[in-house]
Amino acid sequence: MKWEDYIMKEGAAHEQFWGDRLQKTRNLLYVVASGFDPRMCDGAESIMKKGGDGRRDCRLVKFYKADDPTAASYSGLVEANTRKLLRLFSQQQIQTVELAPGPSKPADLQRRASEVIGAGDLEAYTDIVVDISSMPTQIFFPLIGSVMHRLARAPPSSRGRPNLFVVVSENLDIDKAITKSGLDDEASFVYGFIGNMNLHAMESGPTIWIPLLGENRGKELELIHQKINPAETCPVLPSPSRDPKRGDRMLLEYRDMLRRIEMGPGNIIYASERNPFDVYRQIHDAVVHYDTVLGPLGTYKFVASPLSSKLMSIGALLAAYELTYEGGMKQGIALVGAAEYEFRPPGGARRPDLFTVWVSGECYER
Amino acid sequence: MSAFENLFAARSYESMVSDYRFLELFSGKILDAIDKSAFHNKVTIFRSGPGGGKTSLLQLFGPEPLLRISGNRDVNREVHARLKGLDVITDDGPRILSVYHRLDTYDMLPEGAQGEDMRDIFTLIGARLTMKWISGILSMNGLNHSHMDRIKIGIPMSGKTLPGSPIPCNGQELYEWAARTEDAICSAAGSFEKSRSSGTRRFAGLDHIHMMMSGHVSVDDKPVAARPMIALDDLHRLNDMQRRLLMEHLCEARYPAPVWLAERLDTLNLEDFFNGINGREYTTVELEEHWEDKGAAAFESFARSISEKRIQKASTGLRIMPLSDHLDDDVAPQFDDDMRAALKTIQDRVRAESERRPRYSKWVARAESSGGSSLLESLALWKVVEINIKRYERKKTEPLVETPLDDVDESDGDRKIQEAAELMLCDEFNLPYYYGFRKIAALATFNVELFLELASGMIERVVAQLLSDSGDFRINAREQQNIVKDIAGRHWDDIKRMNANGGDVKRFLESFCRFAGDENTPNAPYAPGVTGFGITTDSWEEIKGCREGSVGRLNRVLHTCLAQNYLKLKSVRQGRQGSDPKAVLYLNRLLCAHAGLPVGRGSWRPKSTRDLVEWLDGGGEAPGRGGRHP
Repeated sequence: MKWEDYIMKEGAAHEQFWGDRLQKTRNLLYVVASGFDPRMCDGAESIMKKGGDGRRDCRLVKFYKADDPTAASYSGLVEANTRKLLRLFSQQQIQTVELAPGPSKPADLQRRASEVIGAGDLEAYTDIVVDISSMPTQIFFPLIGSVMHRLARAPPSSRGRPNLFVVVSENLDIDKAITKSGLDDEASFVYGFIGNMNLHAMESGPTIWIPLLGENRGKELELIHQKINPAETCPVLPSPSRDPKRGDRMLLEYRDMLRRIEMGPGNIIYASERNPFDVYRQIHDAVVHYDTVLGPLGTYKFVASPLSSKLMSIGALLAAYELTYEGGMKQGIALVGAAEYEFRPPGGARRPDLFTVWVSGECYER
Repeated sequence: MSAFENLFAARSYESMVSDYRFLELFSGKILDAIDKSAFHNKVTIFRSGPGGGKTSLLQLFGPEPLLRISGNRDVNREVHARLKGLDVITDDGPRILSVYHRLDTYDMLPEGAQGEDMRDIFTLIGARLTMKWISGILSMNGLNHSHMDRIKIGIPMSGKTLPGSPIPCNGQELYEWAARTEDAICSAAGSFEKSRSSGTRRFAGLDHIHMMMSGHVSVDDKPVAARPMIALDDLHRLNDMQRRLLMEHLCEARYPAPVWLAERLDTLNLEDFFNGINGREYTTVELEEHWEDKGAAAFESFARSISEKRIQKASTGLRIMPLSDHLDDDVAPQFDDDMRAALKTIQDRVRAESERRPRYSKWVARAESSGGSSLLESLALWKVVEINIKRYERKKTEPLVETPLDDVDESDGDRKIQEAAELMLCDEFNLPYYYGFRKIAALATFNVELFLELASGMIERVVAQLLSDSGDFRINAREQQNIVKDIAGRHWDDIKRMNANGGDVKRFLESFCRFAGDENTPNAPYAPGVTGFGITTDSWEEIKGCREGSVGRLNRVLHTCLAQNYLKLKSVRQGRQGSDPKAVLYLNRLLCAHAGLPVGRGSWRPKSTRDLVEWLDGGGEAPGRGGRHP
């Protein structure tokens, strides 16, 4: 396993980690998505306050169109976030990347997301931080996946192998307050993680589906299920979780569907709500297990659907990346795109927790 | 406990059930939508909203279903007879070999779709058609993939070969070549690995179709007799440029095979909906239009046929009868007490009015003497008198001499008033209105999937009852209405969830429903009630082609409403005057149920662009009577 050992920092440890790290000169590129999410600048604020020497640049990813109804509805929140970002980076340090300059299909956006960080960036910076707190899953999967792919193919001793970190400001209350609307009428596969789902030659083989469950995602689950028609479904539930009954409630929420697809309790995968590497390990092990069992059949397919928190989704990304690009197994990621988001700020929400997940770089080379 | 498989819940059943079950459940009445010319060498486009039945229709012509039904008419005699009538099958087997392919994974290819990009698309479609064609030949001959080498493909008589392919070769070699081509293009297109396989030949068209022509293809040295037919589903999944170029190519290339394309209505521009599509190079079959043209009774018969087939196949150990037999089509006797109380209330009101105004005495006397054959009929009769009184009161000035009025004419108008009366009664006295098989079928608005969803809700209730009590069971009118309202409510909520401009669309429809509710006043001026609005020629000129500002928003909202069947366009008239109606748009009947509007096609009111734009922001007329609006 690629991430058998790993480095992840949470809360105070995250602060300590970046305080120590920026004692040395570092050229840092901070990638963040523009949006209404109140957590958008949490990570940048925390890291930029540590000071230190070296370049500090920000790449602001705009994933919505100019006339996007969500952006229009929450323009006040978006502007407030932008002002906050401008207090952390100067205008010159911020480069904006528009993923939807005109009418675009989801696949076009995702393809452009995979090009947000180019080959030149890998040489110019020692540390690349991708903050996914306000970035949709369909965007950060190709964005981070393509960087991991480039890093893995760069010669070991060359320049152009910066450290890659994923930062997320996690807060389940805010996650639940954001709902999707204007869903696509069919699920689709994420660019870079199509697996072998679109190959006619593989059409006859069974599909194993690993949905990472989150609250209020019933419609998306239905659409993904319709699309891939899995032979076996292994839902991932958050356990351990801060709320020990959260997993049970999800089983209740989705009981009709789980009963209809005749999923047995033995199929449930439990993974820690606050450790993406545990999620990664559980998915990885499940896929390897099925690969061993189904091997004699010849053709079979694996699909994961991260409908959970951002933090858990990182685990699904790591597993899909390793299995597809380093494990020769090709795991697809199926999701349902949305044209709009709705946000009802929750009253009395907990303070978000900051996490740093060190995905690639010097710590794994030693 | 008996096991029960709710086959109504399997709406996209073509992908979920076996070929045998698919055939058993298929209702052949939809085959009336096509004729023999669809099997000529030309392009035919099938269009409908989501759930209109395109995919099921295309998949019926797949090799396995045709093979099965040609060999055993008892699987579905109705379908067998119709397919025979279309010369698609004979006693010897299928005469066509349909190569079905969904165009749902091409969005990963570059969006530009020009030059090299379009070659990728043609090459990929061609490779996949080739593999499916070989699979089809195997199925037709009772073989499996381990027998591919028994297929021999020679050079086509047309001389049009596939450069780079191994032809002449056997099926195994051709299949592997196509699989390699597919893998090479997909690996480069959907992956972070950017490198393209350099040895992969790319095509500027679908020359693969020439290769499929019978005459040089054999299995165990016996020629394959069935003619190929290409069936490309989900054309709307391509991006606009890909779709346009593919359609142009297929029309211009005139391949020696029938080419069927299926797509949803959302590919059309708003102008197309209003003006109609007049493609000279292709024929269009609009499935919902087909039913609408044939009339409500034809769709009801189709719905009855679908439901009976499902019931027959699903009833395992339970006394399930045809769905219509489980649905009460009368509110009596359960609501007799309510109706008696309602009747008394209305009679008191009408008699009081008649005492005050002797001019209505003849109308009242007639109602007193008619009685009606049922309580509901009596109730409706009295309500009609009340409506007529309200109408008269509004229209007429005070007469100098109070003389009794003659009877109101029995006419079409009177029947409409009766319908309005029924809805008003249900509204005022909380009686059920949306019940009975006829109304359930009508609520589906000519859409198969909507009907199945409604029927599924009903049949689950039947089964739940039969599992605990094996006696006869009919769902009463109130319960039917509750099920209808539940489903209609879900669809209403989905408007926002499932459309990019869902917020605008929902506000617009809410405004319309509010307006329609307000128009349905006690004198029923537009009986049986307003369920549509007309767009004048002037307004249409303003709306069409407009992409900017609030009128642009309106354009997009109308487009979504028509593409998703939230509104049905009817009565397109070529008005000469600017104020003439250009078209009338009626609310989907299931959404009518959500809004408490009549099931049958109601009346419409003309609306200006300004009115419609106001509806976008929830404006327009002030909210009227509560309770009926969503």
